Amino acid sequence: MEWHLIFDVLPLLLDGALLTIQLTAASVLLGLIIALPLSLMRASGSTGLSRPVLLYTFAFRGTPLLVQIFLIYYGASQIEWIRTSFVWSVLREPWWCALIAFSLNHAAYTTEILRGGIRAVPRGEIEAAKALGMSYALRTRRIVLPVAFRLSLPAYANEVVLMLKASSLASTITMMELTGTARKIVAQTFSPYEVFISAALIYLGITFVVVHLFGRLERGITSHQGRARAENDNRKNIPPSEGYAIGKVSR
Amino acid sequence: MNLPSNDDHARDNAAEQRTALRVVELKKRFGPLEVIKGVSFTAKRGDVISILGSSGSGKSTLLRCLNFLEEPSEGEIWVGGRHINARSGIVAQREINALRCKLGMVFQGFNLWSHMTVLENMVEAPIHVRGIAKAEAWKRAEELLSKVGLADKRHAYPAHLSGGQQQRVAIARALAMEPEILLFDEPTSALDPELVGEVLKVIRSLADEGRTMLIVTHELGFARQVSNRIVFLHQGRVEEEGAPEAVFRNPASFRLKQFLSAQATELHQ
Repeated sequence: MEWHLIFDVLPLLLDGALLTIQLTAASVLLGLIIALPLSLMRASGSTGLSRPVLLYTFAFRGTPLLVQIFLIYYGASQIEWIRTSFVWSVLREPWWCALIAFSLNHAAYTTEILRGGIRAVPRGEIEAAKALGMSYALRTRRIVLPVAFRLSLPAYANEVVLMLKASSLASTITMMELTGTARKIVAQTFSPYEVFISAALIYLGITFVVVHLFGRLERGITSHQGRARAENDNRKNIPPSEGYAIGKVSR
Repeated sequence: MNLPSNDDHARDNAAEQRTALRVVELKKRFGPLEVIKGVSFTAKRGDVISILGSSGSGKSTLLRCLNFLEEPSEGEIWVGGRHINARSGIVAQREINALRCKLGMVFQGFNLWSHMTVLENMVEAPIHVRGIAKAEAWKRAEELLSKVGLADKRHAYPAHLSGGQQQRVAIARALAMEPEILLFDEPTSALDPELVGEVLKVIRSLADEGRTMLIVTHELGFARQVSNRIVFLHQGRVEEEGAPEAVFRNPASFRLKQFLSAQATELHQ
């Protein structure tokens, strides 16, 4: 094995890595935009709203992403009216096909993650919002979603990392992202071992950054749960008569 | 035939102005089960009414029907001269929200928003529901917080406060909306015995200010001291009502006698 090759090909993979990042970021963003209203529908008590969404998430979580990509990329071209309509200008581009498949797939998972968070928002906190005259839209925006997002964050961070790695499937429809570029270089150099190690290192690096960012976000927005630390800080300022109550957090 | 004179009108108007809340024949059904079977009462301005009753008597449900956290099945409600025909399904959400702004509610479980600091909890609804200017809302919240004795906790999160402190913040949050009537739904039932006193003290000071309040409680001694009227519910009906001294000394109905003696035995144990 030629160790230096691992580092030699790194610069050649950078363009591909950039495409991977673009594709992942766009899919995550689009997926979140799709998932937000869907998760609210899914968490609503109404069967008419939640059933169609359940059907969608079931379909996209129940089939392999690779199959979804193939269906959109190869399947769409089989349909006459799509090929003759303006939609074709989008669906003949592998970039758009990958983005559509990734976003829909990612949105399906994110919908279910957010739904769990929404359902876990304490009932009492929602009742308090109602009792203060807050409308559905206002309490969703100010109370339900902020709390739900905090509760969902660990699972969501995981899902974003999975999306990053799933983006390698775009290489199967001619996309020259990180994995696609690596395969091309392998075909030229016949050194699969070194080149794929190099690609894996880049994936690791990106994952590290994503995990780190989510970790910071999580620490930032869940500081209100840092009970022990804040309580100890407060202890000095508390009159002795109240001190005993401080160890007690809300029920 | 006697036509109503101007004096009568004046008297009616005065009575109307003194009435803070009027409930007529309120009913609430959960499926086939009727929990509130036609409750009527009137609260004048400055009245502190304690609603007593054993568990399952419908007292919490009654309170929750007033601000539509439970939708009443039938009945009529007047709040500050505004009439609502509370038949289920016909009251517009906007009207319900307007009603809720006039009725401040304090819950058994405090229900502070865990992701907001104490002050953020208090300014949220005044700013976004009532449209009060931010600076004004923050200033007012600070004042109210001092009033409940928690000025030093303004930037704390609810999880860092004791139950008693949380409940005092919850009371301040309800007050920040400047409601006409305060509804207390068993405000001390979730508290450790040592923490009950600090919350009752705040409620008592509100009564002294002349605020109109409805209190569902199990603290009989407190109800007797602080309220000027007792409403005793039994199986979804008003079984007895009157001034606290009369009700506690000479309960007329068998149910109330039974209820009071059961509570007394519990106290002595």
